[in-house]
Amino acid sequence: MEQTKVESRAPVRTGPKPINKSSFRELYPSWDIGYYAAAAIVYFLLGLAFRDKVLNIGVGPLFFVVWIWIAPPVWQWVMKRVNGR
Amino acid sequence: MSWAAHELENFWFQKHLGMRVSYLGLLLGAMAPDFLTKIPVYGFEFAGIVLRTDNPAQFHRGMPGFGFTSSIMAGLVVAIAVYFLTKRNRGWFWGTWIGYSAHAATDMFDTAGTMLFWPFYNGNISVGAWAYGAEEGKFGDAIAYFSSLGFVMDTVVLALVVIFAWRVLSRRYFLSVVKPADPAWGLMERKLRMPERVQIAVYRAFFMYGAVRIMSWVAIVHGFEGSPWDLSWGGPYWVEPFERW
Repeated sequence: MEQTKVESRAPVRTGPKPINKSSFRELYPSWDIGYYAAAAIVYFLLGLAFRDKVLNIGVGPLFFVVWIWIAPPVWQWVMKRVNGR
Repeated sequence: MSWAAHELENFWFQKHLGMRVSYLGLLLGAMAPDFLTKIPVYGFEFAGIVLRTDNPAQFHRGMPGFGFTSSIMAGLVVAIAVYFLTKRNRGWFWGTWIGYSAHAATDMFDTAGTMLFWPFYNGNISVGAWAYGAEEGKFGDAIAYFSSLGFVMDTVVLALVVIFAWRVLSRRYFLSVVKPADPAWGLMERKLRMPERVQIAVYRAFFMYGAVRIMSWVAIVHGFEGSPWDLSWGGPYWVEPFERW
């Protein structure tokens, strides 16, 4: 009688790794860091120039939200124009 | 008074409490204790009308004054109100109470301290690590704070988040933990037509603000103003002791 061999295998993981096992590179793509780093540099410079007019709780968090709302579509538009020429 | 720790410590709590709290609740709680007091403490002038208290320390932290707003029990009252306003959302209740209490506990480290255990104990509890400098005005307070152990406090909280809780700022963490824990994010998405990247920006905004605020003020205070460092206990030396009540 023919016997079939069943090999024991470790369960195959599907989907992404759990967050607590993920590396920095897996969680933060470079484009993500780029947008926030650019925002941080601009906000830092604005802070030096305008001090408490900018470095306050009303303007500060709003600056980052508006930046991320606007920057990616503006960047895509610029890249389209550059590549289109 | 802390200049960045209140914004940053929420991410530390978020890491340890996960889906049991609402991040927006934590944020509300962390900001709420100073809602009533910050403007009169530093002074505000509009159309010739000056709004400023004679004794900022007493008004902000004392009794009579609004010192009771920096206490765990005041946080409970606010959290109960938030619980009913959010249709009995437990995440918002715990978030608000923890954020509020953490703010009161953090402010305990300056020389004025906070009425942390009001109404059971009406005295101020103070560690006295850096001088309460609101009498110096907002700019003077910034110079004093970022020259003292207050700067160390903010930097330690920032380092704790960056070194031990950096994953909580990721998109995946937001989508798998922060957003499912709080229906307010879905509401923002639907009512404000807020794209996902902007919701994540709202979540990360106070981290970015807190971190860059530390860097900017340190550059202003020590680079442009040339203020000396005084990391002695209770410093900096040039801040006059506040008027006791």
